[in-house]
Parts: sequence; structure tokens; C-alpha cells
Amino acid sequence: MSFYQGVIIIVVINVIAVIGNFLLTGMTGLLSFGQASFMALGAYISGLLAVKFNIPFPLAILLAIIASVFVGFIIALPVVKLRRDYFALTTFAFGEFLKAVLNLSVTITGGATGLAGIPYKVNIWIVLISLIIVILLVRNFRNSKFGKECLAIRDDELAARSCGIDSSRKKMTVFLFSVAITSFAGCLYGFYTCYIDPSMFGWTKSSELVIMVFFGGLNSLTGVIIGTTFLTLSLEILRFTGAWRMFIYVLIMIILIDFRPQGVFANWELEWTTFEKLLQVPLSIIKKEK
Amino acid sequence: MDLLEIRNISKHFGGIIAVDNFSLKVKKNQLIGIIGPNGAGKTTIFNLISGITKTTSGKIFFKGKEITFLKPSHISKLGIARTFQNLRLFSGLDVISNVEIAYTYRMRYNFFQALFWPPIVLRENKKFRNLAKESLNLVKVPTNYYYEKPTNLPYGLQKRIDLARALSLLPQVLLLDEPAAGLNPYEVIELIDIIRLIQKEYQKQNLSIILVEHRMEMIMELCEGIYVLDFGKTIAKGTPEYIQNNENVLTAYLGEEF
Amino acid sequence: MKAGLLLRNVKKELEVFLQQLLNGLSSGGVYALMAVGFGLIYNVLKFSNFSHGGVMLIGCYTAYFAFKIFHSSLFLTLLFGAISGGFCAVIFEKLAIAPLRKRNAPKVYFFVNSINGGLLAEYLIVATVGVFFHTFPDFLGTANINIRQISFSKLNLTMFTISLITLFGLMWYLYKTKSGRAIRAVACDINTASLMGVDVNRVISLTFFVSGLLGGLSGVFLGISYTIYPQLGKMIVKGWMASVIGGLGSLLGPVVGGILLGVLETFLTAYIGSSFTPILEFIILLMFLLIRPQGIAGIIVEEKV
Repeated sequence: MSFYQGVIIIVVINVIAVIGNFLLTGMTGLLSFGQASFMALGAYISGLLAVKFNIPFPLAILLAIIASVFVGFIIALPVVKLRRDYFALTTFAFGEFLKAVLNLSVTITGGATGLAGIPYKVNIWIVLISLIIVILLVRNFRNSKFGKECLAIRDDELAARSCGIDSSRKKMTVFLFSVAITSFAGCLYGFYTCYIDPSMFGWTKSSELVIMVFFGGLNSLTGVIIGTTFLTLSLEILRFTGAWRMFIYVLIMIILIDFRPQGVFANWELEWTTFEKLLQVPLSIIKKEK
Repeated sequence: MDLLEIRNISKHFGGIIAVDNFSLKVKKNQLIGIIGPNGAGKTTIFNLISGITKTTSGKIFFKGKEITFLKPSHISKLGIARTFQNLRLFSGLDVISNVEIAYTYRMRYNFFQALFWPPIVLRENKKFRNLAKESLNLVKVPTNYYYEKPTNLPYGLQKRIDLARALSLLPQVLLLDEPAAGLNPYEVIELIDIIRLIQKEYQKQNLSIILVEHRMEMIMELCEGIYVLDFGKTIAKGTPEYIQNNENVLTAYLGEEF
Repeated sequence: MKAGLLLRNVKKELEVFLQQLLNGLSSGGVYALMAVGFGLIYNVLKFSNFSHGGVMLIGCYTAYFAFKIFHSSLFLTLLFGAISGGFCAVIFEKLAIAPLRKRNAPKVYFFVNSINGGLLAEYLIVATVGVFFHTFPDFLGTANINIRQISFSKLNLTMFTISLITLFGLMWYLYKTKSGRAIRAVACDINTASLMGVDVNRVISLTFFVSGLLGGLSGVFLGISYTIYPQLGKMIVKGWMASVIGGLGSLLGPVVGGILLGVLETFLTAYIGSSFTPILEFIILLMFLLIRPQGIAGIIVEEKV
């Protein structure tokens, strides 16, 4: 398999994880600093199921997602009612908690040395198809009543509640949906790299997922997808700067948020209608010729 | 039976008594006004009714059922809608979606259906989009603004979108929090017409309106019963004619020596 | 004979307990410093300022190099750390917060940019100094102080005392001086303060400077009690936790929260081991949020309608 395919697979998995976070941060205004730990949950559970019990990988992924959602439910239960700071804090503390648990359970997960020997199951077609499915699901969700309710909660929770929206319930729904997608990304990651260890899913990774949403734009799914792709690739491009690579990367991000806080793509969204408009041009030429 | 009954509610913020022993009864199809100087506790009363702040003491009943401790979302679903003094429109949604928000709890599809869009989703979305258009039409928002973001519109229009949103909850009690604040005299006249129109349109649903204002002329023009507040206390209640000649009210509004 | 042994055991345990308590208080004092520096910005601009971690980091490294070059004493080193932290915070404010304020951007962008600010400081250190660990020398030697035959670490005692003095100094500054009052006025209501003739931009820079002083100081303390490494700034999450537990929006709450967190953590680490600490911390946090979500200070910031 070529180097470029590997890069594409990593980029796509990252995009899926960021889309999961987009639901939470972009649409509902909830900041999660433990989102990477749900990637870890997905990767570890599905990996363990495959390694220890020889469960076929689609079923392992499904079970892992269900388990992650269940864990997410328990964590979110006390905090969806509270202020947003608490949500960020609790998800963060959960990340640290999970890392400690993974490090301690040496006999099951391999502890800090990581879990090796996960079967290699993911190729470029699987991740691309997964990406398309995830994009379609999230787009549908966003255009449904749930999407509007989330945006309303983000903009003004109090007004949303006086419009008959049970904000804690909606927050829970969107959080669990986001957990499902993020842990799915984690599963794919595990079955691609075949090796995972707890340090891959620290809070730096979680905050990276948050920052990428802001880079693309809180209001634009398209922006988030393109932005994440660009950022993940730019890390490769910036390699020539050597030790200053991450510094330049972050500096660009700060300046960008300073001057374009709404994100690179702001409200712009690529939809079928955009393609239709693009098609109009050649169609009209064809008509003229007739 | 009274549609809405407030029984001796009080609200203390630390040492400050924002609302003191306030009682109110609203029957079907009534238009009640609450007036008082700034800081008299008018908005706090609305917050208490809609469940945003909880009472220190006292009870609130809606159609004979106690609602004092219910969540705001629950209260609004039961049929008490409100507008906000300082416009709380959703800046990330366009005008029509702002109104549709109030309909979402009536849309009959669940989370999984929202992911896969079976026909029912399209059907429901379309049905309620049409209803939202009707509400906007009723408060006279021009159709060319439907897909704009509300923050780009003039203030008067934003107020009417807020009104349309509240109406879309299909309430039986509508709480209007200073609907005329910040409007120019022409817009105020227009607003009075709209409120009359709403009353007429929703007569079948027995809509009652409670209006909080500090503009005397508007309250006098519209309301059949008026409560006057000052520093949290009810200093007078009665018909417009009675209030106009009440000494307590004159003192509160114009000072002692008058 | 047996009773004597028992008594000695009890005394031994008491000694360990008291020593752990002091350890806890000393790290709690540092957490309190972090939490107050963090909370100060929260009070004024209403966002969680994660760049504070970067400020701590820069303060710590500057102090380290100041020591290397000038062989400064403990107090001078702390001073270096604090002042560089202050300037670093102001630079960060000009770089990442002022432009957003000018655009009236929502608070969440401030928050994200502050995370970026913390990362920027970290990568700056990685690029210039490198990823290697450094350590401060034992400023006070390994000397212990004996009180009633129980020995306490002199360093911990000094750190706790300095933290307390700094916190008192801060309170004095905020409540008794003119510029401190200006900070509190802006914290109360930024718009009204500006209408009353307070130069809000200047006050905000000043707040960042003061918070940076505290940050730099706590950074040096962290460097002394652990090691100096580029990821030191991540310790800010302890300050964050402390200020949330203590109650955001209050100034004394974070102090109590910080000390409580420090003591709790030390005891957990001493009696059940450091690897279990995050697990119990998470469970305690969840319980805390269930029982007292408004924080210790108990200020519920009710939204205005």
C-alpha cells in the first residue's frame, strides 16, 4: 500500500472524528475535552473483542459503539443539566480517568505499552464509504428538527427552553450521537494502525478535535471537512520547518481565528443545489446549441 | 374556572424582594395588563410564570393544575408562551426556522427517522414550514425576509418575529414582555393592530394575553384589566378607568406633590 | 510495653499524616495561585483562559534561565518568573484576545484561542529550548524544620507561606487600591465601567498582567516541586478544576477549591497510589457536581432575561 493511501486513510479517520465533534461544538455549543477518549473507547473495545474473542470486525465495531454510547450516557447524565463549563470539565476528567484505567489494566489492555496485534481490516475504500455515510447522516440530522433545536440551544438556551425544547434531553441526544461517530472513528483507527496505546488519546488530541471545528467554521459542515483535511495535510507540508513546525501551525491558527472568527468557510455549505447551479452552465450551452 | 391563577407568589433575590405577594387571575379570552415603573418586578413575574426562575413562595396554576415547579420547556408545551423584552432570537437560524423552533416538539419523528429521512420527515417538515409561514404572515413579516438571518433585520421586525415564534407554540396564555419597547410611534400603532388581530384570530382557541408595559397609553387602549406594580407590590388593580383615577397610581408614576 | 508500642505507632502515623497534610497544603497553595490567576480573567472577560498554562510555562523557564545565568536566590528567581509571566500574559492578550474583543466575537472563540495560546507557548519552548527535562536546584537544601519532634519539609512550608502571602497581597490590591477597584468594576459590568470613564482596554491588559504574575509564580513553584518540561502548562487543568469546584465568578472560591484539591490529591496519592488518583478524582468530581453544582462559593450566576 502506498504512502499516499496511508495519509488519506489517516486524514479521513480524522475528518470522521472531527465531524463527531462538530455536532457537539459546532451545532450545540458544547465543548468536550474528552472526545478523544471516546475514540480510545471505540478502538480499545473493538480491538479487544477482535483480539481476544475473534469476533468479526463489523460486529466488534457495532458492539464497541454501543458500549461507548452507554458510557457516554452515564457521564453526561449529571452534567447536561448544568452550565457548559461543567460539561467541558467532566468530559476532560473522564479522559484522564479513562487514561488511568487503561494504563492500570495491564493484563487486559496491555497498559502503557499498548494493545498490539489488532487485525488489519481497514482499507481506503472502507474509510471513504464510512465517511460518506457519516456525512450523509450528520447532514440529515442537521436539516431535521433536531438540528434546528441544537442550533437554538447553542444560540440561546433560555429562549430555546421557553419554546418547548427540553434542552437537557436534546444535549444528551446530540452528545450520544457524537460519541457514536467519534468512537466509530476510533474503531477504524484501531483496525488500521493495528496498535493503540493510551497516550494517543490524551486531551491534546481532544483539544485538536475542538480546534479543527473552529478552523473550518462552526456553521459549516463542508468547512469542517475541508478544514480538517487541510490542517491534517498541512502538518505534513510544514515538516520542512523542522522544530518550529507546531509553533507555526498554532500561530497560523491564532491569527486565523483573530481575523476570521467565524471560520474559513463561515456559513458556506456545499449542497446538491450548488452542483445543480454548476450544471446549469453547461446545460444552458447545450440548449443553445440545440 | 380560571385559565391561569397566580396565588400569592413572592421572589427574593438575596435581600431584595423583587415580587411581593403577587396574585392574578386570568380568564379565557382576556387581555390583562401589568404596568409599573422600571424595576417594579414585571419581568420577574413573567420569569416566574414561564418557569425560568423559581418562586420563593406561592403557587401558580394553569387550567387547575399546579405548574409552579415545572421546567420551562414543559410549561411552554402546556400552552403558556412568552416573548422577551430584549429579543432572544436565534442568530444562527433564519427567520422562518426561528419560528419553526416553536413547532418542533409537535413534529412526529424520532432521532433515527431524522437520520434516514423516510417520507414522514419530509411531510412533517413541510407541514410545519407552512404553519410557520402562516404565523409570520399574521404578524406581517414580508415574505422576502423569510430566509434572512434575524440580526440583519430592523428592530421592529425582529420583535414581530419573536411574537410569531411565541404564537407558534399555539398557546392559551401569551405573555408579552414590553412589546412596544424600542419601537417608534408608528410601529407602536401597528403593533396595537397586530395584537388586536391576534386576539381575533385566536378567539376560537380562547387565547388570553398578559401584557407587561410601562407605556400607559398602550395598556389603557388594549387591556380590560390592569395591575399596577411598584417595588414588587401590587398597588392597584381594576379597569382602565379605575386605574386612571387611582391616587396610589398617580403617586407612583408622577411623584408625591401631584 | 504493648501500649507503648501502640502509642509509638499512633505517633508515627500522626507524623506521616501531618507531613502529608503539609505537602497537600503546599501543592494546594500552588493550585490556589493558579486557580485565582485563572479566575481573575474569568471574572473580567467571562471565559476560561487556558493560555494561563502557557504563561506558567514561560514564567518557569525564564526563572530557570535567570537562575542559570545570575545564580539568583529563591526569591529573586520567583520574582523573575512572576514578572516574565506577567509580560507573557500581556503579549498573549494583545496577540489573541484583543483582536477578538475588537470584533465582539462570542466568548467561545476567546476560549479556543486561549487553548491555542497555551499550545503556542509549549511549542515555542520545544522549538527553542528542546524537549529535555531540567530541574531547579534545592534552593533551601533538604533541610527540615522540627516542630514538636515532627519534621516538616522547609521547602513546602516556604512555598505554602509565599502562596498565602501572595494571595493576601492580591486581595489587598483588588480591594484597597484604585487600579484594583478598576479591575473589579470591569469584572462587575464591562459596559457600565467603560461609560463611567474606566479605560477598559487598559484595565484588561492590567488584569492579564496581574494574572500573569500569579501564573509565573505558580509556574516556578511547579517547576520546583516537579521538573521543568515543555508540557508543564498542562497543569493548568488543576487550576481550572479548582476554580470550578470553588465556584467560577468568585475570588475566594478558587482559593478554597485549590487548597482542597491539593490536600485531597496528596492524600489519595499517598494512600492509594498516584496511578489511581485520576480515577478517584473523576468519581469525586461527578459526585460533587451531583451534590453541589454551584461550587463551594455557591454563587449561581443567573442569566438575565
